[in-house]
Amino acid sequence: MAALPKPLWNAPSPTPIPAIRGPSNPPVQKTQLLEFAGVFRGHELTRKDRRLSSGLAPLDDLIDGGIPRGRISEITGRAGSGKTSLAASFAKSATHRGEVTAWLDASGTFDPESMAAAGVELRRMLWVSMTLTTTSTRMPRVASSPLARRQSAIIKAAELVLEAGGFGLVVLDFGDAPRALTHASALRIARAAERSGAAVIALAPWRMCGTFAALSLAATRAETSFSQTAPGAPVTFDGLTVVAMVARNKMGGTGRRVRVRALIDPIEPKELVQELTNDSHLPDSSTHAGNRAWRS
Amino acid sequence: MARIACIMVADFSIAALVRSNPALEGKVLAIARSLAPHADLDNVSVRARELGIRPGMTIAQARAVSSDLVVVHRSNAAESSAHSALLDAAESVSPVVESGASGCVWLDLAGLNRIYRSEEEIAAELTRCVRKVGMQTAVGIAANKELAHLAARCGGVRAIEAGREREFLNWLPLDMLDLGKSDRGDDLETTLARWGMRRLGELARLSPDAVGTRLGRRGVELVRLARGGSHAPLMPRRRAEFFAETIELEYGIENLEPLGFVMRTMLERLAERLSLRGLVAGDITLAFGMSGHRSCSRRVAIAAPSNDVRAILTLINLNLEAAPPEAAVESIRIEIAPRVPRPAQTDMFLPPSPAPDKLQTTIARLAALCGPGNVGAISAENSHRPEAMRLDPFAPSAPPPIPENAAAKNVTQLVIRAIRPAREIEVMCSREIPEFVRGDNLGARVISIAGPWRRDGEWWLDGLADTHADSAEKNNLAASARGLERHDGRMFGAHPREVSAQNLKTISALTSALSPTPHLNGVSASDTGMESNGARKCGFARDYYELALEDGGVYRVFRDLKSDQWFLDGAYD
Repeated sequence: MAALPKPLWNAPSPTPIPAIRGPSNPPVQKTQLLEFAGVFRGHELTRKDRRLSSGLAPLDDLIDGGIPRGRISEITGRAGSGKTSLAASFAKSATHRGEVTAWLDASGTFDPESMAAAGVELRRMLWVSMTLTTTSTRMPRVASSPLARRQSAIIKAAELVLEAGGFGLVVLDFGDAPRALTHASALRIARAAERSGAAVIALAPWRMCGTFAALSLAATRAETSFSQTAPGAPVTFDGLTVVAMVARNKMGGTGRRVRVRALIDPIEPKELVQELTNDSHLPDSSTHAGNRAWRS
Repeated sequence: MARIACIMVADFSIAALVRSNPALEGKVLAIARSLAPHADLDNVSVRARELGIRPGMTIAQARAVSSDLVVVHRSNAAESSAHSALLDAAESVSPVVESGASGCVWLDLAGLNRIYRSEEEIAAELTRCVRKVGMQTAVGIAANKELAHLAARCGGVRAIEAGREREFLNWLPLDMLDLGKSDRGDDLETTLARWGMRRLGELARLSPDAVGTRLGRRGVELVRLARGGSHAPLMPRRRAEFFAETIELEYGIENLEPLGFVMRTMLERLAERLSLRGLVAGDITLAFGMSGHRSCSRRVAIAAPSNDVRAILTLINLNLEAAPPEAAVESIRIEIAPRVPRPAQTDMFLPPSPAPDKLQTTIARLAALCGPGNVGAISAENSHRPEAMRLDPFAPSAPPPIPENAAAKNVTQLVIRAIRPAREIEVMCSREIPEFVRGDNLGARVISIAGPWRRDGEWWLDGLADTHADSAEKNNLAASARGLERHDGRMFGAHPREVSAQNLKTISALTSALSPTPHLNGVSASDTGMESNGARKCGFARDYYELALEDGGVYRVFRDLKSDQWFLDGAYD
């Protein structure tokens, strides 16, 4: 009688596996698709993992993938620093993913044409302008000047929008804000943002929310580029090079900076090469892209 | 077997008055046609009845009983509004509703057993709904309208089970009914009491012909009622197309603030009525009756249908502040066009979006805070005019399928912060080239220049009064003077070296000739820079420059070729 084969679980291992600690698992790339469910591979995503990317590789690398949702992020900089372009890139990213966004415009400087050119889907963006804010008797007495009244109105409007819920991004464009927000106001917005889970961007010349901002990006203009394709040809304005520096980040990394180009006609070299190979004829030198191709 | 419910408000004229003016609640209240001391009281409140005041007493007699007596006129407007509210409360429970006399409404209960477990539960729901619209009601449920009405007259909640109608009629005392008078003018209650009749059921034993001979038509009706009434079906009313509340004030209101207090109460009642029907408030029509037999009406557009009273009231206040009534307001009628809240199906795998009802309420509040023209979905209008924008109601469409993670880019689009309306600045030029810019909060030397980029358009709107031949001739002349192909409304390069100064002067002169109407920099007069649809447009011709100034900013400025003025159009940021 043939011996029964030994059960596998009793068989001694012919070659014992050395207890060597393997390399740690590579970091899992969290796709944006699964973010909405709040769960990724069985693990609930915490607040710090839920981020809204800008679609700009250097900027996203700088701030660990994007601005945090449910928190206030500030983008500060003086006029011409490129802060609005950075905020527009976040709005573009959010609307392209189907999220509903809001742009609360205290200064009335929202330009839909350039925003649409930046890729922002304006149908999914609620625009609220404070330029004709009603003179309600409930406004505090300190809000007497038009700028201060608009600032009070934008706080109230932000609370209303965040209370409604469902917004992926709320941009508070303070314009030329006369002063930083009071602690109470910043706290109210921070709480409302946390409850709604929306990413909030405060655009202002200087920091507005103090310690209630989880992230603060300081934008400065590094260079302005004008170009001329040929002697005697018209000079064209190409754009700005913006330096974004992390002025404050609760997750660390303060002081790091990165350069981002904001262009009137942003064509990446890769796209340009493809465009050139597709077109058999020479680019039309009268167009802007054609000028760039000819120059390159 | 059919089941009919009847809701009835006791002392309806009093209840309607108290509903329109809650300050009268709990007062010793009476209604009279005149306030003279000898005028008779038509109706009295429960509190007055407890003190011994009865209808038919003169005001002087009633004041002798209680000095706290408040005598008011009967208000048809208040009764009409209260009856409409009663109908709304009934329609929130059953779709088949018949309007009876003032304060009485019947509703068909067929099919409601699938929603409510018992008739008591239906009665409780009806009581709750009527209380929400500001009244107390009695509910009677029976097999037909007349029995249900009799049951409701008994007060409270009374459901007559099928087959036990005879038992109810045999119990029903005649003094609980308002029997009225016979054809000969005798008091029916006294006559029947003399006959020994105390309960309604006892009348059933009498012959209708014999009773008709003695008491007339009313007597026959009572006998028929005593035998169980008729089984006539309900006559359902049409659904209301608008919701209205009317109030007649005892004295005129001249200030907006007290007017707001009155309208707030009315709006709250309307919001309750709308919410009972599952609707939200759309556009509002206000009608004011003013002193001197004058009246005015106005329409208040609601940015987003909502039942948020505060937001609606703010919009009304904005409208009234813009154009206040000409005289003291003595009556107010608020009429609301109802809207059905937009249903939405959310998706687990799509990004969350605001709930439609919450979004509409939020937009209404934002419109109240910032003005109705400052909230919505903004976009660039399909126009040649660069600053043309359009504002649509914000209604985010269904999100597109989420794209795969697009490759991150290294460059982004530069965005401009537009200045609307364009701000006039002073630009110092040397040989037509800007060298220094000065303006409000601006003053710096020009470092770099791009441009000019000429942009003109809508020239065809100019000189409409001219003959077509003249216009064509001028256009041809202008085109030949430019030596450039016309690209209407589009940018095309025109470097100063390409277009001589003489040509520029010629173009400016011709463009001015083409547009005799003076036009200020082509920007709408509105603060938002929007162009109203009815605004008359005229052509524009501008030279745009991008100037990098010494202060670090890059600005887009333009020179209006018609007025030869410079304007700051925006700042790149």
